[in-house]
Amino acid sequence: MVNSTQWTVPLRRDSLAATEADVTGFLSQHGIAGHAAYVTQLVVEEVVRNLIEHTPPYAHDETATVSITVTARSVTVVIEDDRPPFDPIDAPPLDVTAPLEERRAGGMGLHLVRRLTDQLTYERADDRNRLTAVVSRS
Amino acid sequence: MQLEATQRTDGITQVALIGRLDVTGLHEVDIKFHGATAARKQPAIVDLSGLEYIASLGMGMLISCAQSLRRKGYSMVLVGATGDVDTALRTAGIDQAIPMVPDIDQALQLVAKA
Repeated sequence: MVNSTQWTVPLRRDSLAATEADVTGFLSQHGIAGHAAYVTQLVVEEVVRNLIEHTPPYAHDETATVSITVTARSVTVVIEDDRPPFDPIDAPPLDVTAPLEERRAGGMGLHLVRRLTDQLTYERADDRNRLTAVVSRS
Repeated sequence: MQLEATQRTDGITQVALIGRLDVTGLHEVDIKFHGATAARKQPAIVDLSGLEYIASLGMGMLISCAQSLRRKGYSMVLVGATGDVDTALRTAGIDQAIPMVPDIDQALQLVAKA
């Protein structure tokens, strides 16, 4: 059994809450709970929010496409956008040992995506970024 | 998302975060959380036992308020995180910046030492 859905998300701050609600609802409808649901929601939130934060105001009519496919063994999230090339896998590593005084919010989100997903691949094709994250259901 | 703040008689603020600290949840509690922790001149224990979800945005709120308290000479301790919330916090190294303990008694001991 394979179940898929796709959303087009405007790259504006006010679109993220609705996308989160859509993703949560879809996962619930398909019986995805626990760790797989948590990591899937985190991937969408972190990657789309990062895209929005790096989209200038004049480009806020641009969109990203978020696709989720559920199988018996895994959940696959594919996020595509037309923004300039950016490979989240090559983003600077987070210093998780930094003391409180030196900590900043930047970098934590993509670090979590890299560490908590079971597979993460990036490709640039047809002038689009395509990030694919696989989360095991077991 | 709910925030329950308790003013203890021992001069420590105890705050419980309950629900999902996603983008919507953060908007619901961000100002209240800053008011209950960073805006006060006293240590804070943050109870995460009822927290179901946190991502980097929520972690940034914890870091920001803990830094504000530290600048005033007070500490923050996180208590009771479990499951995926605990895993996410430790994966981001939050436990290296803000002490994380399993129960209130250990949190009180840490706050007393600070």
